[in-house]
Amino acid sequence: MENKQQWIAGAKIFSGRPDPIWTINEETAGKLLRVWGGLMPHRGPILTPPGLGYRGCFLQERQLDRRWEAYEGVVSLGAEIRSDPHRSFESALLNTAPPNSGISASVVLNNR
Amino acid sequence: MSLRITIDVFSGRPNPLVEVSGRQAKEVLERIKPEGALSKREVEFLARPHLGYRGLIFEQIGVQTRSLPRTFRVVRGTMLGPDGARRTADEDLEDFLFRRSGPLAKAKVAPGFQRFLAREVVRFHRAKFKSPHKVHKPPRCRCAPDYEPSWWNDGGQRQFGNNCYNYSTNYRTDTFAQPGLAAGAMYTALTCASVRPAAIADDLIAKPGAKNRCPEDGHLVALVIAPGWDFHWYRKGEDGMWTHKPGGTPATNVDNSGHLIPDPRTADRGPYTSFCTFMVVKHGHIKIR
Repeated sequence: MENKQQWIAGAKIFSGRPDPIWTINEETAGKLLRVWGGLMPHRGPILTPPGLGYRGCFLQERQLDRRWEAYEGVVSLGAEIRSDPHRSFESALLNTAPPNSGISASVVLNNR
Repeated sequence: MSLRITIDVFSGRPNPLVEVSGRQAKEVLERIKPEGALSKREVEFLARPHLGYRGLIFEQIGVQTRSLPRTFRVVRGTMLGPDGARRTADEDLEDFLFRRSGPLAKAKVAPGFQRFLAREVVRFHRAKFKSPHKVHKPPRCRCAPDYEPSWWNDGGQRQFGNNCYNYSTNYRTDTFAQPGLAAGAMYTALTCASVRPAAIADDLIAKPGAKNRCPEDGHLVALVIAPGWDFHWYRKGEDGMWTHKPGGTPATNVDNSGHLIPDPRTADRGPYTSFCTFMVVKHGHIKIR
């Protein structure tokens, strides 16, 4: 039971409403970590998100307090920054959002 | 002696390049000969990055004329080099270079390029010297809050626990306040028609005709909507300019394009495409949660 609550994910998107946060299970987290494991180090510039609208998403492991941040083809874990040109980590993470949240990769990445 | 001339006009494609030599190169250099100085404002304008025609880049190949640098730019009758800017002896040099029998007429890029280029050169020559992002300062609003971002942007409870509604009403709750919640009349849809009455229930005063003017009492706020998605608020400050705080991010005085905000109706608001209304916040009069 405790294990299920260990991983949380969220999207940084709203201004007035609280940003959506959801829990994900160990298996889904494992899939995301495999995507992370396949990414190469990032060497280019890092885009700054705009003030209003979608500003990225995150995956957090509560127990070890590790947090992956993804935005516009770049994924970071602390000081480690990797390139995700196809935004596969970001899309997979957004697609773990509950269906009733209205958050999904196609909605967020294409329209916001 | 020869000159390599790059027509600096494209952004994505490579710029076209022409080489002139011999007598023709000599004549071009005679016409470029640096003369009078330019004003600082004029130099800043010419050197600023532009989209479209930006001038001609000259490179001296082989034997070099000492009176000119190896590489320099010519635009609008001006020579811009590493040591500063001077007017060229022939202020209509570009006309000479681009005319039908001129050295640059042989730059063939695509059908219609010469016509496109001619229009571009005229456009750039007619452009006025304007300061970038110069904003007409609106009148001051004596009752409005100061823009003090450091107070909100503490990177902790104050920043993350307060949203655009808190910031615009200048009312800290640390609860990510929602319109209408304190009055038991929270919005039910993310539309102007639903969020506006919710804010009125919190005792904000609707002023749809405020037209960006400071109220006699209190301060002006503006409600915008990302239809079906979210709401957002701006507030008009003491200096008459608008500021905002997107969710838990820091309070800021610029829009999504990085420009100051003299009017939220014309600001770059990202997905918050629907301007709903102006409202007035009377200090000590509202209650939000």
